[in-house]
Amino acid sequence: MHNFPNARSVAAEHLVLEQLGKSFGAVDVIPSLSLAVRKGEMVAFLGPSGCGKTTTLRMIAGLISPTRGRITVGGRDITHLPSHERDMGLVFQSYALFPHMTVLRNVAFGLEMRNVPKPEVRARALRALEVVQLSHLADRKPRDLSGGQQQRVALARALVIEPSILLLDEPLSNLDAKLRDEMRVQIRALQQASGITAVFVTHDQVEALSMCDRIVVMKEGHIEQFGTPTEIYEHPASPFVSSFVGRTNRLRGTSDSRGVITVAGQQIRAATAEAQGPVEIMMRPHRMRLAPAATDRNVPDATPVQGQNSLRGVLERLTFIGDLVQYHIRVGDAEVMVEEATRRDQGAPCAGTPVDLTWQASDTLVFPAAAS
Amino acid sequence: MDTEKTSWAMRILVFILFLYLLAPVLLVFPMSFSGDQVLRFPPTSWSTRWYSALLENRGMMRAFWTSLGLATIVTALSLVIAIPAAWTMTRLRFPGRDFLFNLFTAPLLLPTIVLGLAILIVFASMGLLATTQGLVIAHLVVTLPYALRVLAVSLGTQNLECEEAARTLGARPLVVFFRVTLPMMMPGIVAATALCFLVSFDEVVITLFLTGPRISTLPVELYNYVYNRADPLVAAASVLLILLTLAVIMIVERTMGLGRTFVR
Amino acid sequence: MSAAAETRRRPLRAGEVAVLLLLPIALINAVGFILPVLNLARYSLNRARIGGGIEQVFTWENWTGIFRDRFYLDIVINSVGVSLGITIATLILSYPIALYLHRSHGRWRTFLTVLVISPLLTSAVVRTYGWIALLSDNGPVVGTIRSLGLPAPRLMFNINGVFIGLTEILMPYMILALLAGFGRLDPKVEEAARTLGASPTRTFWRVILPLTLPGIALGCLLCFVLAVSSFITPKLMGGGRVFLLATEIYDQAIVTLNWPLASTLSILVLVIFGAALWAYSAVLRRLD
Repeated sequence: MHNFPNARSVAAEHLVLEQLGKSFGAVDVIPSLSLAVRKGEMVAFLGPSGCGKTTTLRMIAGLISPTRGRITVGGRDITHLPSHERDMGLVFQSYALFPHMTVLRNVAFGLEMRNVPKPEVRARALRALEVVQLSHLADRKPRDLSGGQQQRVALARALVIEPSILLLDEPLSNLDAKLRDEMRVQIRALQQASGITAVFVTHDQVEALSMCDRIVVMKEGHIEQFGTPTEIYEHPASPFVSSFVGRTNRLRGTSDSRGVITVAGQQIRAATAEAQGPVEIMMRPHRMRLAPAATDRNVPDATPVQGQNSLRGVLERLTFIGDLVQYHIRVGDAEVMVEEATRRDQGAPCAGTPVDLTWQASDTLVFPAAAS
Repeated sequence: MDTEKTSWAMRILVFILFLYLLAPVLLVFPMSFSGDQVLRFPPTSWSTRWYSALLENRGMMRAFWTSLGLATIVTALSLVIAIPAAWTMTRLRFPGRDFLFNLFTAPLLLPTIVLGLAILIVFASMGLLATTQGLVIAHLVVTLPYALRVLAVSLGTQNLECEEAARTLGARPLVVFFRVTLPMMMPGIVAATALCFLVSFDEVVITLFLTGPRISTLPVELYNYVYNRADPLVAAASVLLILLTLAVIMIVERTMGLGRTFVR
Repeated sequence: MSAAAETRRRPLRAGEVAVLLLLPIALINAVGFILPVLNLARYSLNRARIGGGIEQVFTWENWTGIFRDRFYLDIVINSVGVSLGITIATLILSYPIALYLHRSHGRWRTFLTVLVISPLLTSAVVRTYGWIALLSDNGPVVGTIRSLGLPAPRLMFNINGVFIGLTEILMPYMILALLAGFGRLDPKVEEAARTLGASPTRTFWRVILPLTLPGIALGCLLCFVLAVSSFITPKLMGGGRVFLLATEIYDQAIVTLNWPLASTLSILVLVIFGAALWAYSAVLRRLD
């Protein structure tokens, strides 16, 4: 996969995983994983629990040793280096602050391990606490701090040693929603200010999409897709990625040689028509529009607007969730959801009435149907 | 909250039962201030003569210091031996681990009268009877299972991520142990210390088999005294023993709460 | 999670490290537990020499002797009988305390729990001494009975004293075991029974008691085992007139110096333990 890289890409590719694999006993948790993270970039490992993202992170940190493959940082092979010689800052899900040390001692720990002279240790630890706006709590014990404060101490502790790579393992999952939004911004700002390469493990697509330069979507130990947030969202490489990142509608249909797809007896088109035979089509709920069925021109093959798809269905129910209204429409034996922004003058159709769904053909994703 | 459900009859019954449960311990307090020559309650006069008699009883005092020294040595050794063992049991994986844990805590299941006899027979052939070394080893047999259990629980409930954090921050294995693992298991160490000390200081049955005129512990001396005589001297000694126990419990309570240590 | 378990494994030398760190505790265990217990089994099959020491011959005569000699047979029967009696008395006296404790809350409960545990932390010698003071002829119990004009019973230096003293000494164990078993007793179940029209007495017999049977079984096992092997209280309160297994083991070992016989009686105690454990698991199986 990696040919001899030229000089530029050596500088660009900072953390490289080559055919990295891990087995626990007879179970291949990670069969083979290859990946290159560029210097200064923040990459998210996104996937459901048990997809191997945390295992991969722990192999990078040296907390578990890989069964096969290689890990290099800046061209140096660190695969078999013990954790304490790796120079990585790791922020844990539980924060893992040392409960018996003050906040300042927690932050100073990594510097003491590096034999930094004492006065400098104190100065640098205090400066790190200033960066996360916690210098006033330097002499407190971790248990006296709130969750968000502990989180920032953990961040300061990982960053103060100026590690070559910052690793974050679900760092926001123990915070409440409001704090999580704040911390997302703060972590991203800190990472960009220091220009540090960072790997961010999460199961939350919002975190991955909003904070990271690129996203690795993982499933059952392998990479489903590696790309920028926009690529992942707009051009998901698989039905899994499409349904894991953002909400999506899944319908089954059949594609013919002309690229016309038949869904529930009605015909639609997609921007690209690669697959033939049984296919799965996906549409984002908020890219679709809903209108009362046009009864006066009720002809199934009425000429549609160019490049636009249309499906007829029956509105089953609607859910009001503040900013959005979700319409659940039955099309054949499938259910399609449409999201629309709430309007004051909502003239919503009643449940049980026939409706027309419309959306751009270019917003239609087509995948070969999973063999099942 | 539920008090209304409990009838007065039940409360009075429970009060009487508690009285029964605590009677012997409570009685020694007034008894120790008896002015009588023999055991009599209520005493006909009050004095502190039995406290002075106790302090002047050279055998008793020597046994007290022996017990104190013995319990201190046994406690220290218990920690030194049990901490590495507990660490091994909770942090390393190897075949036969559960079997070894059960084996090392098995002495607790044996009645002390049987264990005492068994140790007597073996120690007799080794020349360990009525020696300090013999007593230390015998006490370790009963204190180590306690220490191992308490420390293993303490280590097993620790957040492993703290150790991992220390490793990623650059700490070598030994540094991780001394700067993170050990300080974090401090409540467990305090509990184990108190438990070992009390068990060793109060141990009678096994010790009875192993002591002689040359060396004796306080509980054994008290046992012999009660066996031969009935006067309030032992009440005075009992009061002091209870106060000592109370002091140890207070220390534990302050550090980690009694419930966590002894209940369950 | 499997990933966390993996970190505990060390590269390469884990085995050596384990051996090294377990060596001291293994040594103490071997010298002070395994070796003595194996030796005990061997001694019970050796012949005693008069005035101490043994003859290295294999013989069953210690065992046959016990079952032929009426004296030892009585001791065994006596020990088991007295222990069973003490267990039942302990259960009856402990049950109300445990139930009350289970229903209490907060600081009051903590305080009562400390009261229950505190005797456990007091030396058996001290507590037995307390009972001697209470039950002796000049003590408050006999004194009260006399002042009521009743004939004074003899409570000391016979089985009565041992019974009273041991029951009290074992109560904390029973209470703690019962409390552990009461976990299944939800106050709501009781309330449900009451709202369905059951009287308090019926509620107790039909609901509370059946639910707490596992705790009762555990407490009884514990107390029986402790009663059979108790030594200090029978020795001090029996005044040499109460012969039980534990006191006989001590006398044979220290006074008569018949170690093979003492060993045989010790193994017998362990056999009784095994039988009690078997009975306990049989009861538990029936309860399920």
